[in-house]
Amino acid sequence: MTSTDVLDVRARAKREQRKRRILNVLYLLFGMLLFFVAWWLLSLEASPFYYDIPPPIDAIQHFLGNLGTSSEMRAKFVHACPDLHPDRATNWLRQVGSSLIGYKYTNEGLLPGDPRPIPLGQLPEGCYGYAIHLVVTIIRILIGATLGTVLGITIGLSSLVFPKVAQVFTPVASFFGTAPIFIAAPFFVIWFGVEVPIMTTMGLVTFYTTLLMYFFSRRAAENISVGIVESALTLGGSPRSIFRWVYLPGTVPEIAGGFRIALAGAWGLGVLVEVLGIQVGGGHLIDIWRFLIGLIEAPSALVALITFFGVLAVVVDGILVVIIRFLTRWSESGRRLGL
Amino acid sequence: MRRVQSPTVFWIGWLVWFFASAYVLTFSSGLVGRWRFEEGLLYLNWSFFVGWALLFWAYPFALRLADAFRILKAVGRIILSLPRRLKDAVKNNPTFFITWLVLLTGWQLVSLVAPEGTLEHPLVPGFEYVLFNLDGGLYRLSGNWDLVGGVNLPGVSLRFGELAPFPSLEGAETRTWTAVWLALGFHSFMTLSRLVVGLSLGLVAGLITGLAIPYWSALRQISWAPFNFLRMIPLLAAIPWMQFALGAGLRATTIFIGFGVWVTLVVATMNSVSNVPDRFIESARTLGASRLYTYLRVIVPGAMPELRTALLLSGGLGWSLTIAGEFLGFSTGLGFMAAAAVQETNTARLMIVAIVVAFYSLLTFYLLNKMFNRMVSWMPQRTGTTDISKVAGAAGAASAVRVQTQE
Amino acid sequence: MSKVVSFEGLWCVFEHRSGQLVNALQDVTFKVEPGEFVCVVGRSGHGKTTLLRVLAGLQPPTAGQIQLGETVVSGPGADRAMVFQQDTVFPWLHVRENIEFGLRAMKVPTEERESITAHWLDAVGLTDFADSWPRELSGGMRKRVALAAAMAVGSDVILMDEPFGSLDYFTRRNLHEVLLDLWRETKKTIFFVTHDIEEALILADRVILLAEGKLVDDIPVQLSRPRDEDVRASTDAVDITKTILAHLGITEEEAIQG
Repeated sequence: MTSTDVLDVRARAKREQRKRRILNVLYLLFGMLLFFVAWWLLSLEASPFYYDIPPPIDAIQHFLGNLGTSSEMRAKFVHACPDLHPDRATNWLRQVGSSLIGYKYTNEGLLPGDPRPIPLGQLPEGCYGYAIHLVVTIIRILIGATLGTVLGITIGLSSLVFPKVAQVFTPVASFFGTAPIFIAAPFFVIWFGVEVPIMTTMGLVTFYTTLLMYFFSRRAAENISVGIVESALTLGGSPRSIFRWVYLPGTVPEIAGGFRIALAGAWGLGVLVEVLGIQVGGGHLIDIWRFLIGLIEAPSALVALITFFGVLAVVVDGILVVIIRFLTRWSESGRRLGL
Repeated sequence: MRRVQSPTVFWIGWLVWFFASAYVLTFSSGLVGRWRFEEGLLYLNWSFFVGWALLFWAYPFALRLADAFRILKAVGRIILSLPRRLKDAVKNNPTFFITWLVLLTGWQLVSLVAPEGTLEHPLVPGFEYVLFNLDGGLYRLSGNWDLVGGVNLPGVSLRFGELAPFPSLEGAETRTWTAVWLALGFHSFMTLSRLVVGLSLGLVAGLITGLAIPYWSALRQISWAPFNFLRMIPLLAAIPWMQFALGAGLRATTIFIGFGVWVTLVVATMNSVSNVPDRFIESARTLGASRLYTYLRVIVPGAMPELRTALLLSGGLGWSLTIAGEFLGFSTGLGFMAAAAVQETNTARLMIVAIVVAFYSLLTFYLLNKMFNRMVSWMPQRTGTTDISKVAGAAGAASAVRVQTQE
Repeated sequence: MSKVVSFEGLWCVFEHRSGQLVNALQDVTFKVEPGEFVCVVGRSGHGKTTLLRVLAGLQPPTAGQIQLGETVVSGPGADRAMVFQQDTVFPWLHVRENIEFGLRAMKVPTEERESITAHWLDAVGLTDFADSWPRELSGGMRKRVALAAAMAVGSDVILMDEPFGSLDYFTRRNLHEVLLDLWRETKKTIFFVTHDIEEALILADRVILLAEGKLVDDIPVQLSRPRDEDVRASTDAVDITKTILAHLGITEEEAIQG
């Protein structure tokens, strides 16, 4: 075969390769398009969901229109954010801070600002938008998930050093872990709902994440092959260095995977607790809209808020994938990790 | 009477008889005269249940006398062996019992020192308050009996008023222990039936869709984005919308649980299909198997082991959706019992419900596991104590099965 | 039965993980007579497996073609059954069902299928294990199942991709005997990929040498059978070994570096 033939063969292979890639992207885009078309079809008058599912455009418009300030919310829900104060209301960061910690503690002087509540009618426009509620929820959930992860991994990996820890924790974790975690939510609402609202969302998410992360870190440690540990021992590794250089990095892929599960569940759980009776947060928005069945905007609001948390979950998961892929670039499964 | 040969027919027949005998009793009310059946309304009383139990056991005695005795003997043996089993368990795994003993004692101690709170009930109730106090947890569950108006079945509507008085109608002093157990039984039945119907619909639909889509590679690629987005939507947060859109009937929950399980399972099944090792598929193809034959005989069974996690997590998701759905908007079910407890901020009452729910979900995962192990008896036996079934209830809230399917 | 297998100007260009294109096969041309036992020898990553996969129809060639008799290979089929390097026995089927797999796929009538299966179970010595799960068998026994399954579909050509690579030496020698017996009995054409020169000397009528995807030599092995230790120690055999090593570029320097 001559050299031109060789080039021809390689060019053909290259063309096929490019075609395949383009096709993959096209399929993906077509899938997304299909999703929106299906959504739109469900929102048509002929669909049984006509009254419950708004057209995608309406949902997006409603969400963006009420994100920063919302005259609609101000007109209809004077109680949308009662624990905000004029001082703090002018300062966005302080608003978030006070909503996070709960106004009881702000009132006791733990946070700067005038402790007197202001008449509802005088609240500034800004407090009625969705943004502050959503930010508060996201922060609560992230704090809870982080705390739970640290706690769970600490207990899980320390059970490697002290086997008794596992003997004690595994039965407890599996008792609480088999129950649908939502059943724990009312306890948190009763205990903290009124006085320290942050503890409701955060507490439940922490509890839930601890359970899962304990389990996943424990399993990750169990899955590290005995051979690797023994080889490290023969190379003169001390228990300490084996923990640092074998167990810690070796458990990362599985622990990271577990964290993705935990966080994906934490969004729904955190929002749902807020629905049960917390005064500020994304769940509270859902709660106030769900009673307004007659209002024409209610479906738009509900669908928009739920979709927001879906998109948020996807975005955060995407970011996690990038981070995990970097952390586990040595492992085959880490390299091939996808959404 | 001719012996029923097939055990499957026997068991299914017993199940059918269980329901059929209730109808037999209902329409024989005139003959027996011990319960009322008027204008389509059946006023249930205890003699009805005695009759039902007798008819229920009449089935195996009539069809398989020897088996009936065997079943009774087996049940008796299990009950008699319980103390010995407990002793063995304590001996084999003392840490387990010590842990629980410490936890429960700890709770009791906390209940002694915890702040009273401003509410009617203590924030951290001790066990005597939960179990025995007449203002406390368990006894207050008779309040849940109040709202049991009745159940409408095809051809007959059940009325429960003669089983135990309704305290809301007849005053708080008519609370009874009978009402407590009836309330627990009735609401458990409602929850479990919602769960079973929704879960099985979702499982069947999810498996079929998830196995069908990857047969066409273009379809698989197109459906990737929509299904993965649907899976990421926090379904728990969507419960308020569900009640808004679908109402609060059995149909609504079934659709919603079914939908959640379906989405989860479609993604999980598609993943396990694509994770079937290529070597099996290639081997089948070089042995002359067609595409369809390879799919049915190689890819489908090869995908099963990985589906185990998905199956367990769908169980967890189903439980979460059922309990949360009932909590937010139904007037029956265990979730409703929890909501009623929250209404009077009674943590003691809440605790009972939580323990009952935990018990049922333990049972669910035990059964799901059993069912699955039967399905894949060809697999090498699993070892290790940290099995996903231990946290399936919690992890099920995530429906994020794509992440961690390798076992 | 008995068709000539001819490779004509076979090219195979792959996409590497990094996106680069790699020439796995470059202009491979040769012919194999019916009933020949051909060993394809080369270093790992030099195109042996690709050659076999293209022949099996699992991979389309980028250029060129393979003909089996008059027909051009265009996809996998039971006329070229393959035994893989990894364990491909279906764990969810009993041993018997594994061997029947191809026959069932081709809808062979039950009676005929049962007699064929019984024959091959006997031939590989697994009659007593017919109703076992694969997980209950040893690695060597599972290889026998795979071999029997490939033989049972009745193809003229059997492809084997380092099938015994993962087995211990003694099991491997044992399976060589089983394979040679089956070959003598059925007179099938066998393509056997290996990197083990000793294995090639025990089995082959002919050794095809691949280096960097090119066919570098085609060595007839005219040693007497059975190829016991004495035969393999003969001058002829040692010459063949030397030729192969020279082609594969094993120099003294490289041998030291390992």
